[in-house]
Amino acid sequence: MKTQLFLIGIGGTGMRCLEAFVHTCAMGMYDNCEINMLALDTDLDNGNFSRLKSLVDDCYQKVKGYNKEHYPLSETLFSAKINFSTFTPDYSDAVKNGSFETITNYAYADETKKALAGVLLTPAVREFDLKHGYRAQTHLGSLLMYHSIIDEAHKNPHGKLAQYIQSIYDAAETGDARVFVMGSVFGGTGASSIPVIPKAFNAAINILTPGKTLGKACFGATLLSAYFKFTPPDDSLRSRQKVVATSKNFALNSQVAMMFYNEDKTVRTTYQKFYMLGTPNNDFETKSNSCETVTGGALQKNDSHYIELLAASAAYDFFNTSQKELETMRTEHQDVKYYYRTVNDNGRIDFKDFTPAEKTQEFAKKFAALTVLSYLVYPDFNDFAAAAQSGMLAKNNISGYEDILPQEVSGLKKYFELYNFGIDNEGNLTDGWLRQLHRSAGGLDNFLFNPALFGVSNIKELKKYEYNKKLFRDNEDDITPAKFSVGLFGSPFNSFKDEFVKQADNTSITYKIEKLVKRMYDTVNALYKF
Amino acid sequence: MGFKYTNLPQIEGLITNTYVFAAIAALVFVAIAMLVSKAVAYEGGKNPQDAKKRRIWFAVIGIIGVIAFFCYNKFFVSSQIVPTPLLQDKFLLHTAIATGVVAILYFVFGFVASKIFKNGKFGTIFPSH
Repeated sequence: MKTQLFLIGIGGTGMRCLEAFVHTCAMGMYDNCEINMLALDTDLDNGNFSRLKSLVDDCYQKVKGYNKEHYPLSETLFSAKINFSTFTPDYSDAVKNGSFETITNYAYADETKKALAGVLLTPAVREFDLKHGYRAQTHLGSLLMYHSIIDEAHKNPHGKLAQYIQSIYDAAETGDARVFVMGSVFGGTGASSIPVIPKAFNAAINILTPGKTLGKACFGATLLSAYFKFTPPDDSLRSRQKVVATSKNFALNSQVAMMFYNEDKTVRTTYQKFYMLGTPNNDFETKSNSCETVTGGALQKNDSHYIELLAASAAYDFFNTSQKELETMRTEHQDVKYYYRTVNDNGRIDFKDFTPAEKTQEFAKKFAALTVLSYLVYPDFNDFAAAAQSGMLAKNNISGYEDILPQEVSGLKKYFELYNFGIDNEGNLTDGWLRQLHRSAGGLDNFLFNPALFGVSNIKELKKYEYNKKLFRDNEDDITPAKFSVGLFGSPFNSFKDEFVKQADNTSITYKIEKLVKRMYDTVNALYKF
Repeated sequence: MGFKYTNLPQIEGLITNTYVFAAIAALVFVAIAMLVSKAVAYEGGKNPQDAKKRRIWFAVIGIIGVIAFFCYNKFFVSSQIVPTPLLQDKFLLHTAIATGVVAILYFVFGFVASKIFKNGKFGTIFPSH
């Protein structure tokens, strides 16, 4: 039976969890897999939403083949096929702000309905602009998200969301459908939506195909508790915006949410696995923290955190659970299982913290290979993929890549800029996802790789960085740190190109860009003797 | 003073050896050029200069090698021939020709080696594309 994988990220935290998941797909952790990914956010302009869309549409999909049919591969980077959809409830209103009152025509409701709304929702909650999300008002958010999904099924039965839900149903009926939901429990959109997604999707499939249910699908979710903070709102902002989320309430929100997920019968019988994740405190601040609280929009672009990679690891665990176990949980036990993960008290994050023991070496190898490629592809002084595409490597008798499309090369370069680092106009490095994770773990040698990797701050230092021998930390106890020698006059790039010439193209891969990536991956594996 | 080569038959033998030595010298210089080529690291980016560097080294080694071969024969080997104009001039003529042979063989061997090892660094000196 073929396993169909469905992943849903909700809200700002959900977007960052999906980002982390996409990077694990780029590492090659999902060989021969087709992932159906749904990004669900109320805030169309949200910075994290935009960053995710750019990562998938402008980068990953182009590396799989620009404007081409994609295929899952194995033993290479970017091996998974990703089908990416988005859904954003439309709370915009041309005349006034899209608030609860405007979208429900509250002014024209009868007194009973107004009284009921008044019991549950304060005037400020009924009146704030929903364009930037539910602002930690989960009682409002759950109601609105549920009805947005139902509405969408009614109004747009052939739209992206309907197709996504239909594909879950089709997969559940013909194979093994697993749906994993990622979001936070302390904020607005994620916290509102995680409890209602299975029920809303179930109601939606009944609208799309009357009489049908998603009863055969298995559901899992991360429950991310508070792990970051932002600038508290001042009085002026509060009076303008009416409702503003504050990070000082995140811990309390998380506690209450966790109690809900522990006690509520509906979620306990709907989901099979919950992965409860969090950090000891929420002191982490995004680097670009502005002086003013940001309620949403393009300015809400929080830095990534290692907890989001842990959430992606939770998805990996769920997707690799045996079908028998999930079926038993769904049909016989009818009660959710809770999973936790602890890391070292000293704050050091190891590869084994993200995977089961038997997969740790593989995870480290793939993570390292992807990281090494970022040094070979992104900086202009190496620019290996561009050199292959332009025919410059023909002098070394490396040819056959000239018909790679320029968009595919630019997609690969842009991917690595988002993945590891970028270079600004002054020649200084800017932080990509990996370096943001390092900072979130407290810097130094706390996060997976050698601190020298993260210590590079400009082009001059980048040219001298010895990724051949300073990739892994020396004192690893969960993996075998690998390195290779470059000789007296050599360099890592020199050794790479020397070895690349010796490798052969994989004849089973169709697209040249994927052939090139595979050959580069095999070259790195040969050098480090992974 | 004891000269090693004192008559015409000996000079003719020496000349033959000189041509054989020219071929061997060309091979040795090509081998040195290959070692130096290997030591020149690959460069990346839009305008890598490593192939050009290897060509420059190939040319420099060739020039030095040719000059060294000529000087060796002109000053060292010649000093072992009795100073008779007929014998000295005959050897000098063939020294000049053998030096030319070294230069030509160096280029030919280098070109052939570049094609045999076309996928390696030496192949970038005379690229196929």
